Amino acid sequence: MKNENKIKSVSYAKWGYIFILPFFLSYAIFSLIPLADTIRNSFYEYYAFGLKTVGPNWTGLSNYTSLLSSDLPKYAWNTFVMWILGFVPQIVISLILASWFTDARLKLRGKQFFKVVIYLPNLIMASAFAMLFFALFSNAGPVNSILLRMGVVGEAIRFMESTLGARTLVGLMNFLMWFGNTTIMLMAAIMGINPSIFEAAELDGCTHTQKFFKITLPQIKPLLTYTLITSLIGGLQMFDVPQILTGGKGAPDRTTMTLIMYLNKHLQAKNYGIAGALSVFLFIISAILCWFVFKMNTDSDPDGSKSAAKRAKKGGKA
Amino acid sequence: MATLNLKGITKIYPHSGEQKKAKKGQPEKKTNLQVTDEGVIAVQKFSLDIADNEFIVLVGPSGCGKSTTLRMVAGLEEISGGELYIDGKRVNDVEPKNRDIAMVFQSYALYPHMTVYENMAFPLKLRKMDRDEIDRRVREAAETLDITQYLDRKPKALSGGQRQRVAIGRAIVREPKVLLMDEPLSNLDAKLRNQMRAEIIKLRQKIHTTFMYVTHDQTEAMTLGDRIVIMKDGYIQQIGTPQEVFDHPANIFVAGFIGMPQMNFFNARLTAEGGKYFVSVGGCKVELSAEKSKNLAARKVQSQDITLGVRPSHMVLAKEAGNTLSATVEVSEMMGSEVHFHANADGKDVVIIVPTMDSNGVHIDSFHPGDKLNLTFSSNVCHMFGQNGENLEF
Repeated sequence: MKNENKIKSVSYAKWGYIFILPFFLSYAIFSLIPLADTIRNSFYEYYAFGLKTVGPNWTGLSNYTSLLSSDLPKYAWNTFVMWILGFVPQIVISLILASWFTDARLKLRGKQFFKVVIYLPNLIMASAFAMLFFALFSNAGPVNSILLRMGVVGEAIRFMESTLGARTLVGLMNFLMWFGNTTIMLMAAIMGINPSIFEAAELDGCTHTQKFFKITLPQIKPLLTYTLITSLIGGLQMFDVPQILTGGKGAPDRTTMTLIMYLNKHLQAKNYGIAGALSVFLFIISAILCWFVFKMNTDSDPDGSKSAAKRAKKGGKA
Repeated sequence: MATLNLKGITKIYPHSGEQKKAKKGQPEKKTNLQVTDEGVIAVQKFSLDIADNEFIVLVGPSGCGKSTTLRMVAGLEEISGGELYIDGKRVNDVEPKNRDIAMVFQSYALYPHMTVYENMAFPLKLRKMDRDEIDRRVREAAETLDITQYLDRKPKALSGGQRQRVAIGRAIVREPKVLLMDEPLSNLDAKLRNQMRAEIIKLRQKIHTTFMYVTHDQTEAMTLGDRIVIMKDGYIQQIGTPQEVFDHPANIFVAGFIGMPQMNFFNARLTAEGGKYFVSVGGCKVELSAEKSKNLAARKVQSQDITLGVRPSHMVLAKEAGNTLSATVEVSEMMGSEVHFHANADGKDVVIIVPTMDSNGVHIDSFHPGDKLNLTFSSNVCHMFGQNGENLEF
C-alpha cells in the first residue's frame, strides 16, 4: 500500500527546476552576487594604494558625497550631449528611411540591398570603428587631406582637439552604428500596422506628410518608447567609442569623458568603493529616466473608457 | 450622388522578379488567374455604367477580381487599361483623396489611437471644415447609426458590429459621391451579419449616394443590390437585377453560383423535332414549354448534347416510374417547412427540396436513405447550357 502511494506521487516538476537551474546559477554567480557586492562596496572605503589595500572600512555615504563634489556632473553632461548628438539624427533618419522603405506606393528598388548596407556598421566592433574614425579624422588623415585638396579649408581641421569636433565625432559614430538597427525595428513596427488603415487615411484625404504624423507616428509610439529607453540606457553606458577615440583621456580637457569612462578609471585604480557608488548612481539615473520616458509615452487610457467615465461623472454632477 | 462609368477597365499585375523564380520550381498556385507575358491579369475589360443612387453589388468567388475592381475605383490600385468616369469626369489619374469617394473596409480600418468621434471627424478635419459643421455631421451620422453613446470610446472598446458602424459612419459623414464597401460584413458572426445587412438597407433609404459593394456572399448580393455583377477569373459573367440573374443565368457558372442549395446539373440531350424541342435525361424526356421553344428557335439552336440545369425546388417528384429519372435517397435534411433530399441519380448528386406539408396541412410522404425516387422536372423552369457553358436561350 505504501509503495503504491509512492509511485503515484511521482512529480515531474523537479525536471522543470533542473532545466532552469543552469540559468539561475550562472545569473546568481555572475550577475546577482556581483551586483549585491557592488552596492555593498559603495558604502565602504576600499581601494588599492600602491601594493597596499586600504579597507574595507565602513564609511556610510561618504563615497556618494565625494563623487557629487567631484567632476561627476560634468561627465554626466558630456554623456548626455554626446548621446543627443547621436540620437537625434538617428531617430530622424531612421523614421524617414523606415517610412520610405515601407511605403508600398513608392516601389523603391533594391530595398533589400539598402537594408543590409545600413545595418552593416552595427556589425563592426565599436573599437574597430573608433580606430577607423581616429585614422580618418586625424590631423593628417584622409578627410583633412581631401578637404585641403578641394580647397574647402585653408589648413587641416583639428577635429580631436576641439570640444565640438570630438563630441560630434562620437555622436556621428553612434549614429552610424545604430541607425540601421533602429530603421529595421521601426520598419517592423510600421509593417505591423494594418495596411487598410493607411488606405483609409488616403481616401479620407491625408497627404503623405499628414499620413506620417497623424497615422504612422501615433501607432508606432510603443516602439518609439522602446527605442528611446534602450538608446538612453545605451547612451548612459557609452564607453568604447570615446575611450578608443581619445585613448581613454576624454580629450580635449575631459569634455568627451563619459560616466562609464570615469567608472573605468576608478576600477583601474582598484577603487571599489567609489566605483560601486558611481554604479549605484548610474542605476538610479537610468531608472528615473526610464520611468519618465515610459510615463510620457504610454497611453494611460487605451480604450477611451477612463475619459468616458470622467465625462459621465461630470455630466452627472452638473 | 453621382454616376459612375467604367469603360473596359483592366488590371494587370506585371511580373516581378520573384514570380519568375517561382515558375521554375513549383507550378503556379493560383490557376484561376490568367498569366500572360505582360503579367497576371486580375480584371479583364470591365465595363459597367452605374446610375446615380444605384446600389451595385460585385459578387464572385475569391480571386475573381471584384475587390481589385473596387480598389481601382477607389484609386488604391492603378488602372492598367480602360477609363473610369465619376460624374462624367475622367478620374484615372486623380488621387484617391480628390475623387470624392469613401470606402468601408472589411477590417474596419479604424484609427486605433482616436476616439470614435475623432475617427468620424478625421476626414472632415482634413478638409478644413468648420468645427460646428463637423460636430453637426458627426452627431447626425452617429444618430443614424445608433452609436452616439460610444462617441468618446476608442475602437478597442467596441464590438465588431459597433466598429463596423463607426467605419460606415466615417464614410458617410463626408457625404461622398460614391460609397464603396469591400466585404464589410465578412468579419461579423452570422446573426450580426443579418442584422447589419438590414441596417445597410435602411441606411440606403436615408442617404442618397451611389453604392458599390463587394461580397462573396450571394445572400448579401441578392438582398442588397439593385443590380448584381457576377465575376469570375477577372471577367464579368453577367450583370442584372437579382431576379434576372436567378431566373435567367447567362451561363453555367452563374447558374451554379446563385441559389442555395446549388442548381442540379445533368448531362442531357436537346432534340429539335418539327419546331418542338425536347430534353431527354436518363429515362426522362420532357417537351419544353412554348416560350422556351420559341427562344431556342429564335436562336436557331440545333439538336445537341447539353448540360441541363434544374433548381432543387423545381425538381418534381412523380408518383410512379415511367417517363422519369430514378434516384436513390442518400441523405435527408429536415429544415422545418421543407426537406432537402440528397439523392444519387446515375452517379450524379441531386438535391431536391420538397415542402413538408401541402397547402391543406397534409403531410407529404417522407423518404428515408435508400428509398427510390422518381424525378422529373417542369419544362418552364429548366435551364439549358451548350458545350461552351453559355445559356442557349439568351
